[in-house]
Amino acid sequence: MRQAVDVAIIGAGASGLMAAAKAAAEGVEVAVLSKGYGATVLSTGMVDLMGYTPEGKPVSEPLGTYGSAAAGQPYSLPEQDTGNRMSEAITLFDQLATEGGLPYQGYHDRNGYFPTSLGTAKPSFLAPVTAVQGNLLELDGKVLVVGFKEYPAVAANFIASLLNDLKARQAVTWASQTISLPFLAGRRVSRGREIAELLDREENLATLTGLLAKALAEGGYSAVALPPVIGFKEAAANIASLQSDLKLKVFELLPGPHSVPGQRLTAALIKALAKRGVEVEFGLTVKKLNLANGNCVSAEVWDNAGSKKALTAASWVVATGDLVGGGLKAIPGEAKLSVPVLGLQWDAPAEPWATTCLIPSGHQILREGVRVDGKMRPLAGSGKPVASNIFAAGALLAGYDYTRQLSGMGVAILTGYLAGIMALQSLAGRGGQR
Amino acid sequence: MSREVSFDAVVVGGGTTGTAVIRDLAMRGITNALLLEKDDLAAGTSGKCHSNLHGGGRYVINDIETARECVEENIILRQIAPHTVDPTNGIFITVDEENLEFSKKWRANADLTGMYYLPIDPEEVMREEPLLSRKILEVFETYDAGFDPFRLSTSQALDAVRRGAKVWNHSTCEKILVNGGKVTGLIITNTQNGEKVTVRTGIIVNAAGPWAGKVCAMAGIDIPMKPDKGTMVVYNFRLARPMVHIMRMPTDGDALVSMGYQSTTILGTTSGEIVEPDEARPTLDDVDRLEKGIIDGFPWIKQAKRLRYFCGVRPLCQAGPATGREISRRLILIDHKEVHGVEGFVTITGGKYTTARLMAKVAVDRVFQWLGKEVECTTHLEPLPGAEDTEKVDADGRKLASVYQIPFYTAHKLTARYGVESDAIVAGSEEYNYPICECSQILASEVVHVLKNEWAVTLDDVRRRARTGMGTCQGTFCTPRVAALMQKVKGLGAAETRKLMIDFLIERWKGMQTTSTRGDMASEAALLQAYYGTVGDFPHLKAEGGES
Repeated sequence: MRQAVDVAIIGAGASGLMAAAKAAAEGVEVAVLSKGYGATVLSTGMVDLMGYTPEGKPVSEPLGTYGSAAAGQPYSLPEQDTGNRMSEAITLFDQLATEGGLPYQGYHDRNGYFPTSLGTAKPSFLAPVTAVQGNLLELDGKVLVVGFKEYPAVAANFIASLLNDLKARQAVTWASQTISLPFLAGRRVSRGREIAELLDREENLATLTGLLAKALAEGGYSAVALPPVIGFKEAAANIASLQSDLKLKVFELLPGPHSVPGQRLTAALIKALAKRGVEVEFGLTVKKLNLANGNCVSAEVWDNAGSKKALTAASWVVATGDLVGGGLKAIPGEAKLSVPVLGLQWDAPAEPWATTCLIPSGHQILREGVRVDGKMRPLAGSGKPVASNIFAAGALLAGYDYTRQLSGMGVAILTGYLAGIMALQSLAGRGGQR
Repeated sequence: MSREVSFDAVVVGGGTTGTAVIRDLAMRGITNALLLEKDDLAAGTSGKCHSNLHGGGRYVINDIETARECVEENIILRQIAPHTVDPTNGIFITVDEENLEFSKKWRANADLTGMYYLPIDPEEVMREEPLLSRKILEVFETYDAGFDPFRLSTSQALDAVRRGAKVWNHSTCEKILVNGGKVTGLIITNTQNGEKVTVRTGIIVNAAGPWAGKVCAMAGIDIPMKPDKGTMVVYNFRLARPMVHIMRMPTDGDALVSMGYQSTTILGTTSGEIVEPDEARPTLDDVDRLEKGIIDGFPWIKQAKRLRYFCGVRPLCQAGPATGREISRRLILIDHKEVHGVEGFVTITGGKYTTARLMAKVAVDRVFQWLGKEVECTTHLEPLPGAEDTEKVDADGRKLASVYQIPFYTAHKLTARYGVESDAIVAGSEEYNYPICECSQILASEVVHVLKNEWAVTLDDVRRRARTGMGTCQGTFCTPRVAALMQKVKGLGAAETRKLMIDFLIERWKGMQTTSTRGDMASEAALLQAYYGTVGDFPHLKAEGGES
């Protein structure tokens, strides 16, 4: 671990990696430190900007929802020209993903609806090339869902049956088949990541191509939907190869939290950052940020082996995530929430969780998090910034509920980008680098 | 017109008592018998018990007869259903000077019952159990053990069915037909498909636990039920190897039950009279009292992760002003011919899970008295399904692991639930011999087995039999997997399958919501919301009417 950098980013989810990319863009020395792999690995790997309004109405053109004052934090931030910044941020994301070997595509600035492994359709703005042809708005005819016997997490029959029962948004009939992958050597089940890595090998992809050709033999299919494990590093190339060999649309279904596409996205962003000279280090927990005269001067960092290290930086971005990612903690028995790294603690809402599990309006606690000022600086209970040079981004931010609005990746991309800009500005304000 | 069927006897209530009664009836030759359960086997008091197979120690002070019954039944259950019992034994620990006197009296009473107890060196116990208090003055080992209340009830029902009896779960009794002072039958509705059935019978055994009063009311009879709520907390791993009891006058938070081959611990329990058993809910106040009760013996309890809270309702019954812990836990038999002039109708209530077999014996003895026949009860002699060859079971875990290539830990858990039947479960559906639940290491083949052979029709029914959704994730990961498997095995439609998932998530949320509110399960709850909110789109599906 380096001991001094210009900008230190804490957290390696999409928001932290976006902040790192933006800050590093101008030749500034950036370090990303993360305790774990970041909650982006649990995501579908899709870019959701906004699927639903807070009232639960479907959003068709989600870009426009960013920057309107009515949307409130973090969709709209005073002083930040959020609407335009969002377009820039997506452009940067797109560049990074492409540099990382996993290009993303969208559909004419509108949301698409993508079939999931739970047999539902999820609104998203951009999809990796591995999933993009699944957009139900562009799909018709008969689609074959192919499952792998050794990967029961994606149950083809179940998915096809539930998708056929979806009344809205589709002109597709779903059929299903389950095949066995011979290169798994008779193993009863395999993990998604394992199958994905095996499919990075040419001979295994060729085997799969042959099996799919056989499965599609009866003809009449317009597309084939696959478990989201079609390669790890080679996923984009694999899907393109299947599309050209099978001569129809090929796409992956969206995964649950054991997500290969989420891991692929994280890996692609890290690869792009490496090309830009930014190293991401895992297994490092920032326990405390040390303040002096309203500035953060250093951090107390612990590695997995239990030894303590020190890091100094001129600007800091905290992108440690929400309850899932672990940046936000609910303190057992005390009805309090805390963000340990910022030393913040406050009362949880009186009714943090509704008694109705799937309540459309969402749960109070999922809107909790850190509030920021116009410069993306987290605010303490006093309403003043915690420090002049600490910025916050991603799921840690308060004011929105991505589990109901489907806006998680959008907020990560936008606020990571903004925090990167602010970290740079703060650096410049000090007369350059550290 | 509704369907009509006839049985020689009908048992109302599918908990441990009802399943023990139907088994006893079948073993004594009344095989044309029907067990009715409004929800699912062990879904009421039995499944919401403390999972402590009493060794008598809890009752020697207040209720010496119950203690004596527990001592005998404990030994019987270890013999006839060893696969459902985790024979860890229990320890009673004295943690303060003022209870040393109490401890003397406890031992004196224990001697009167013949209860097993053995003083052991506190130093040794503190060494072996690092989370226990360091200030233990005395330790007595007892025969208390952990057991699986779901499997025990299911095994009893299976035994009866193999002898010819019938089990109808999800079947609620609407009315008891009485004609000329005799019961003649019942009107039943299947809550899953709405079908109404008239059941003709001249013998009804009411084993409905805290709902016994409601069943009696259907025949126009009033009995003095005093349903009593007990709250428990589930923690996410085994905090101690044996069952731990605090040596003192019974009060809230006395006992910590580590669930043997299961990977959780249950802390119990409270006592408080309630009016409506269906409306009993655990409160945070109950939880605080429980933890306060155990903390001297188990100071680490505040750091343990609470998975969920639940409560059960004791079927206490007594006329007069006594409530809660004042009322005896002894079994109560009410022959309604003697008391209310209704022939062919008997209620068996009170008692403990541990003494359910005895309760069944007493009720069935009465039935045979009516019939004027003498047939010996043998329920204490014959093993339950799975326990026919106990020596084989230990070896089985290793054999299954190697022959079917499943992890030994998973195989061990399987044999601990099904005994010698485990082999048939994995041999019968080899393609499903993979873990469908990582938290509790449950095989998909086990789920297939309970769907095909143990009357499971909802995901919650599967949970009770196979423990899916009872680990740390509380069903977040296994729900769609089990639903997909169930759809395949049962050939269900899409809407039905989706409803199974949503119903189960809603059911599991009841427990998760309370522990999340306290912070323990907040990140797990947030992950559940993220998964089913985004990938699942379930909240919006509901708003759009997609949930049917």
